[in-house]
Amino acid sequence: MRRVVSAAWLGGTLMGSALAQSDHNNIDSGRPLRFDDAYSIAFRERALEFGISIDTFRRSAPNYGFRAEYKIGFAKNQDVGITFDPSYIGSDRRFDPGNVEIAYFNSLRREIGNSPALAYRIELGLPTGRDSEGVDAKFRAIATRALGQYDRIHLNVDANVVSSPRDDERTVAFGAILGYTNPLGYPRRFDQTMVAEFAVEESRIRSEGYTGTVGIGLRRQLSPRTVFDMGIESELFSTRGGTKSAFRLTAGYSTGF
Amino acid sequence: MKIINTISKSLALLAIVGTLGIAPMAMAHETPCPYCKMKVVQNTKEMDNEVVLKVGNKRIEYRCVYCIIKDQKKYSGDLIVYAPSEKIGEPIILKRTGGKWTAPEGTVFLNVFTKHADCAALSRAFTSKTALDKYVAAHKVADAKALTLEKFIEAVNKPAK
Amino acid sequence: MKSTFLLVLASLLATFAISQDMPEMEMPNLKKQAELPTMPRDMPGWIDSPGLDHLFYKAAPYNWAINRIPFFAKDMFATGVGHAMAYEALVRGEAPTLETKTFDTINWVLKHQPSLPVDEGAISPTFMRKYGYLEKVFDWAHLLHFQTIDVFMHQGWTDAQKEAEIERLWALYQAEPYAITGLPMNMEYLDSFPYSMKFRTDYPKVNGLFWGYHWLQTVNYDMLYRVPVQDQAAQYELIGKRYHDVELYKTDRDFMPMTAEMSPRFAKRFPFIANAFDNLHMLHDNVNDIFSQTNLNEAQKQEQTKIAIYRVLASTHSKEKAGDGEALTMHDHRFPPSQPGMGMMKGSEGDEMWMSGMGWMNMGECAHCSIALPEGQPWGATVFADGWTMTVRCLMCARDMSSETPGRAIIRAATEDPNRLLVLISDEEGNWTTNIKDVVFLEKFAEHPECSAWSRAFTSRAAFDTYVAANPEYKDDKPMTLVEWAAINHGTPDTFSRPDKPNPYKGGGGTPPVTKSGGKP
Repeated sequence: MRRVVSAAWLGGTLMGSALAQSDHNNIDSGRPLRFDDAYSIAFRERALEFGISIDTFRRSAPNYGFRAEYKIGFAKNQDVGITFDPSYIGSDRRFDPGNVEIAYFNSLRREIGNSPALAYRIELGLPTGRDSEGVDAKFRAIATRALGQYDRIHLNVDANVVSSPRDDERTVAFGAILGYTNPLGYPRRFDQTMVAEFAVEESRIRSEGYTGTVGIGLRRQLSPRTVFDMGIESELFSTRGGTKSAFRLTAGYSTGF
Repeated sequence: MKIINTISKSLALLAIVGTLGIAPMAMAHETPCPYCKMKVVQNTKEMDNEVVLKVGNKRIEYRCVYCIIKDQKKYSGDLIVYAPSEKIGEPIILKRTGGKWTAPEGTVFLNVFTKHADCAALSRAFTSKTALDKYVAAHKVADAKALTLEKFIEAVNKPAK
Repeated sequence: MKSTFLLVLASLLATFAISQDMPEMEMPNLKKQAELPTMPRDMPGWIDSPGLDHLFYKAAPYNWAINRIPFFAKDMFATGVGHAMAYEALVRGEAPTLETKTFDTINWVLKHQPSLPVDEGAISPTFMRKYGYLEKVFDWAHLLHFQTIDVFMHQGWTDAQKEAEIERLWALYQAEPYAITGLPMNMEYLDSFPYSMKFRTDYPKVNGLFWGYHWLQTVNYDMLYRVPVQDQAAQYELIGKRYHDVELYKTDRDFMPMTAEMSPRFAKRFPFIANAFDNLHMLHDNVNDIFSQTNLNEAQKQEQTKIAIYRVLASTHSKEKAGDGEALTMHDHRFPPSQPGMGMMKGSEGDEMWMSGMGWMNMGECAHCSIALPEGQPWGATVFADGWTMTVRCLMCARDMSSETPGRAIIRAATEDPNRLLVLISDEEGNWTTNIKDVVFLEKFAEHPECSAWSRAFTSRAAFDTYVAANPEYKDDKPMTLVEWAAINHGTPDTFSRPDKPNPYKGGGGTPPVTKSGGKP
């Protein structure tokens, strides 16, 4: 069960790579919400990202997460990254080193005319976490397009595959996120982006159903190389009794070099 | 021999005049009047037109004396103005020393232009009222009045209606 | 005495006559091509590739050194906003309010500059969706702009290290298919299409802003090049004020500012970069003209934009070289003999070109005394004043040219030490400050053709003594302090002359027929 809780926590809270980048309007999952836009980091860019999060629950102690990712734009429109995300599970009073994740991102096309920008990301979670077994994989399809002049919407569709599921786990769990971004302050300031999302995700636990989450956050450029982000998410509903996080607070710092 | 002497004297005078700050001021580029931004009117065979301001180490051409008086606030040091007179090659020297303007005795000013296109012709200094009257008659200047330096400065600084 | 005065007057008039204003002429219809250019067969494939292809700048210790002069950095960041907002307005059909609403919005930003670099694509999302391929060219060239500036503003490297790094940056830049050619291109040709000059005619205020940005983006290189880092900021106080007070709002320029006009030393040392920037800025002008056409449909605008890009790409001219090419064509890579960092301009012949605000100038001659510029050391000086930068033969010419020019000025001059540039900055009254506190001057007034020998600056009294010892003709001359030297004024030299031709941008004086030498070096 411990592993299951951990998996749910990972799936819900820190799913996907928290992609490091240094541009406030280049949106990556985990910074601070869970959706990506359809653009990779720049070719030749290297990026480091750090984030902390607190998950509060109605009936148990909070979880504390820390995440660090190193990422390289190794080709035009493509990047790879490696992520470490240790956490402290409050309900179990234990430290979990977390899975090491390796991600590949490919931005297939930019937004041209009325056609959205398209990308996909593949992520492999190596079983380095406590009680972790097998390799988890996540496939994400991403579309980004404008809504009006400056507003953008981002649709992410996920398939989370567990290579060695336990009896109570699904082999594949699906999810979808609708993200929204808007540059705050135009045309007078150009250093921050508001982000919001609505996500529906299928639990990896067979006995549980879907969880619906809303979130809102801000990404703020601190320097030419760095971005600070913060966000808050809340699980609105959970079908068939999954564990719901009352609030999840996230703050992060990204730097590109 | 006489012509050589004359040339020598002329060159000597030119050197003196240069030291005084009214050496040839032909600009190596097309700089407009610093105040009204219109082209500085060059001297002609009939009449001098170039107004030269000497301030510190600078010698700057203006379009007319009005423009200099209007623009004077940007300079903190003492000023010397070489204002073209009715006599070719004999500018009237106006000075601002310690903030106070002075001009040679008898100097009068014409200041009747309504737009800067005419300022070089209608904002000028003369060595005497007689010279001003002659100029006014020759150029058919309407509503002309001979102003003393004080009245001229007062007129220039009068707020626009 | 009367005859004496007459002679003086004659001398004065003779000098004055040289600088008489050119006759005013009406702006004629400049010769333009009758047909729109057609799509070339060898259009590079990347132009239709769907990727964003976002490129990162070279990782290096000097990155963002521009922030050492925060006001300068902010002004540079704001230029990106200005470009992006204008493009966004144009492609969204907001041209009717470009000179009012858009101008006001941009102007607000220019006065309240962002303290961080901006993502132009984020400000102009509609433009990005329609002309993403153009943004690739702009973006990559703008990165070169910023990184070359960073190199020059980086503390801790020698000038030689910086110059070597600039060469490496250029190589990196050229390695991408979006790179603009570093060959000089004929500006008259690039401005001769049926759509040309539309933007500056219909939208003079916003065009003035664009040319103002290009003024800033080019004038800064001589402010930085071989200038000690600690001496750069003081210059920007003057340059930045000029930019905000005057250059951004000029609507009477004959043509866009050229890199070699604004930063002649940099352009001579790095002609390929100066040319690339000019070609980039001309691409901006072409695109502005295309976007503001009302008689072209969207497909035609797309096509003409691609052709405009093609014209200036490095790949289009890969087998060509500077100095070659047929006159007044896309492959005209001739340049003035004394300035390899500039293509031929309208009306240019040899080294003569029309410079806005200056009139006809000869780039091979001292702008003050018209004697040929010295070759080798000391190379002379440049004078920045009234928005222009001019090269002169000697310190005396620099000082006297500054003295006759209203407003503050900057002199950047050679000393006896090729690695120490003298930077003098004057106030409104011609009082100078120096970056070399022990500077002394030699000035033994004689004939102008030798002025670079008898008018010099030295970094110290010892250096002066060494020079005098080697040149005994100056043994009786004492070194002058800055204050003593600044108080001298010899006026405009009698050797000064300028070509007596009308402004080619205002009728007459067009490009002369190409002769055998024809300006070809």
